[in-house]
Amino acid sequence: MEEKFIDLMKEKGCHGELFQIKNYRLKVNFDNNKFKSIEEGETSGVAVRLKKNNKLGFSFSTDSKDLEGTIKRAYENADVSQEVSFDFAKASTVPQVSCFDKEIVELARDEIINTGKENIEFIASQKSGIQGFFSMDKSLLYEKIITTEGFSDEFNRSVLTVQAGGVVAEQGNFTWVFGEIGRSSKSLIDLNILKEKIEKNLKHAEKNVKIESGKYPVIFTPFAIGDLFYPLKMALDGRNVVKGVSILKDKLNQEIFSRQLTIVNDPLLEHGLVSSPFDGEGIPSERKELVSNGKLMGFLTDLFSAGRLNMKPGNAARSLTSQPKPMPSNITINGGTEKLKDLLNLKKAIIIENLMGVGMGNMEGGEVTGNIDLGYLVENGEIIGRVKDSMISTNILEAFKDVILSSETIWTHAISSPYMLISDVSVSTKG
Amino acid sequence: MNVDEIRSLVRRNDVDYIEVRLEEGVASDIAISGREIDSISRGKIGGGNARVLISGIWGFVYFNDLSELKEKIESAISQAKTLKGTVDEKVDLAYVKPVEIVNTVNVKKDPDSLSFNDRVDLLMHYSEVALSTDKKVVNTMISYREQKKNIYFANSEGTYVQREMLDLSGFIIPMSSDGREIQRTLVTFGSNSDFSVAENLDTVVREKSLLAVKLLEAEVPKGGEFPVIADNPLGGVFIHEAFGHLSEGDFLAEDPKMREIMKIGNVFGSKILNVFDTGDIDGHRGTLFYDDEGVPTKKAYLIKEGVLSSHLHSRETAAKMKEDATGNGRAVSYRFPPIPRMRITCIDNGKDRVEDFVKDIKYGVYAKGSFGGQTNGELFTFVSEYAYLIEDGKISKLLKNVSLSGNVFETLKNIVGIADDFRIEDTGGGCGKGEQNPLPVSDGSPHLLISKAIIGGK
Repeated sequence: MEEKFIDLMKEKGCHGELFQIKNYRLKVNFDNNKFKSIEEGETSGVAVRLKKNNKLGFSFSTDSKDLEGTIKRAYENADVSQEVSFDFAKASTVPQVSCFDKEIVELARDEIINTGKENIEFIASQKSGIQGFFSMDKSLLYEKIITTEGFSDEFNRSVLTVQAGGVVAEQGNFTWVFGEIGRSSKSLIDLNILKEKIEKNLKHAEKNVKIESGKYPVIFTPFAIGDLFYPLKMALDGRNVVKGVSILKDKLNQEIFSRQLTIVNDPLLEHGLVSSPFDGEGIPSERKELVSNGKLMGFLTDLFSAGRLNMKPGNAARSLTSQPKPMPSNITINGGTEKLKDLLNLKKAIIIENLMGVGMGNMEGGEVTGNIDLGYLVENGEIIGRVKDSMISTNILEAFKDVILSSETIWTHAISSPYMLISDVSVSTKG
Repeated sequence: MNVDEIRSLVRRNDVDYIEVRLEEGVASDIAISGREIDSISRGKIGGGNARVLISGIWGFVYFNDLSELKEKIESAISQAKTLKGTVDEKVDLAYVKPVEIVNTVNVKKDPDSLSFNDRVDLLMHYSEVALSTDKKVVNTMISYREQKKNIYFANSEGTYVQREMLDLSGFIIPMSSDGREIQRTLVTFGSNSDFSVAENLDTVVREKSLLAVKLLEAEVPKGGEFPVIADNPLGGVFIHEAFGHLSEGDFLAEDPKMREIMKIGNVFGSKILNVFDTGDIDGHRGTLFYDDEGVPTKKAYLIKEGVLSSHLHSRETAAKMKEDATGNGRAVSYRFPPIPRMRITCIDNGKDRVEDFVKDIKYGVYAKGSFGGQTNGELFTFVSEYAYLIEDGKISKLLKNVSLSGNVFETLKNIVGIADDFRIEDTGGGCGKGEQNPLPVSDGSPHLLISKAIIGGK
């Protein structure tokens, strides 16, 4: 493949990059407290980026044998495409990263089914009438990048992802509890985290309590951090900084958040969910501190934005059909000094397990506005009951300024986070 | 694609049921910000799956290399066979009459009637229109997506459906800033057959750009519970999120409590409320004459005069609930098996006038447009594009950052007025359910008067 690609690019007189992907997946689904189905398959394809008169052509095909056709289409598309001045990745030494686990490769379907059965029985036993669901997804990914500048490397990643939870539907009261975890090592998948979350939440959600609209201290659990992180991710996106639409664009090296907050992007994390030796453009992976003790240290960049911002690239991610763009890798948000129970020791606060509808708010502006899908009222350290029919509204620029972090942290999916206490959040409710 | 070969491969008697789906086509994506192209993507997509039922247990295998079809059929069969004894599922499929049909799209304006270059230029032009409207319009976010594919479906019952699929959609988002905050508005379009929905948008882009600037000075609403007038796009999003998902058979079939809540005959709203889901209105993203199980789609009245009258089914969920198949079995691509999904979901036309809604509100919100919505079954939430405060029966201030939410069941009952201005909306994006995202759908509604909903605000 390599020789053929280089030859074809020579013929066209272009610099270029070839991306090849193969993904085998086996997913076992349980729903309504029992086994439902298996989905199994392999997808693959090739994608080409090339520069023609400084314009970037891109095309892809799910037919991996159609390299010539893909190059031809990329060449044609270049005429209408974006202007770029960056060069594709050069030959480099690429770090060693642990992201392939033989145990995941050898994990047999029937073993997954048995694990599923155990877990679904656990969920079903938690509450009468609960409809439990559980899915375990084994994925074996292969990626290869070749460039005309000399880069040529490939890697394999094995990933195990688990989603588990249940829904209790009663007239006038729906309760969804769920969680998701994933790593590239089987031994790091701790299903007890999910079991505990499900058990605790069902217990806390047994009673509903009424609250008044107003301002509250709000604690986001690690499972809810994704919603706070989304607008932050948009603001840290190098491309958004280039476009002038990041709320952090002029704030590099400034102390913008609480000194307690340190956020690191780590593609080298051992057995991380999305760990890789090089990014989606063939740039060798490096750990990057995005926020250090409240100070903004860097942005997530790809070749395009790195070039414009005069920074290092290395945070590009892609799928077969999409061009690479900046994306967070494994993210660690450090813990603080206070234990969760001390953090909760407030006169009145709301603890949020899950928000709904956040994606539609003004996230470019840093807004986090959403429904409290699952959340509780805390009074003097005790969880009193579930809060319903309420919305919260806050902005990360303010929220992260005075955030207090618990010492406990949990890995959920690709973010490791503590519990976060934000002191002044608007809560609107019925009545 | 050898039709006879595909059909012969599914004529087997060692399975209870087998179907294959093959597809091939081209997917294009254009993303623009400001005066720059973010990315252009255009390439070939193709793949297939085999889905098999043996003694009530499913086997499902997908692949990209269409030459592997035979081998993958054997894999799916072996998958289902070896599950026997390990698991207790027992799936049945609702009866449908086998059909043999080649279904083509009634193309009004093919996107390929313009060169790809011209399509890109058109979107760049809209960006320029937005940016040149006002210096406070600092950026735009423009996205256009297009899929053109042929889908081949054959099953062991003798059904063969070969259908052309064209889906085009996009949005143009002008973004304004005064240095302190960012606001945005939305122009959106979509079709299954007509590229002209993406043309001649200069005027509306200009209007929306001016509005984005005005929103910078607008007020944030007071949070709380108020009467709300929802316009057509918002009404459409509401019914899709608030009720459409609840009606999907896979959510109901095996949950006795949900089946009770969603029992046919239960009252969900007043007599003025009629809600339907259909595939047979041509020209829309959700248009679908044959679903992905080869079932001819037909109009399903979910609510008739306030009373629940139907659910949305795949063949499996229809059988589980002992109801008829409705033609809602859809898969976003060959990568996934069909599950109950919506098509064109609407609140039917009413008799009232919007002017009368405004007159009767002492303090409330007239919410317009939508950036989308979400539901957890009980609670719905959506963000409107912008809104107006209504005070003492008159439209007053412009409002921004307006989110609405409420309890689904209560809000349906709180629809106290339905206007006579029904419209179907086709927007960019699509419906998400699990990993099957984005699925082309449409929704429709007249203006609605909701006696109370929760507005998120300061």
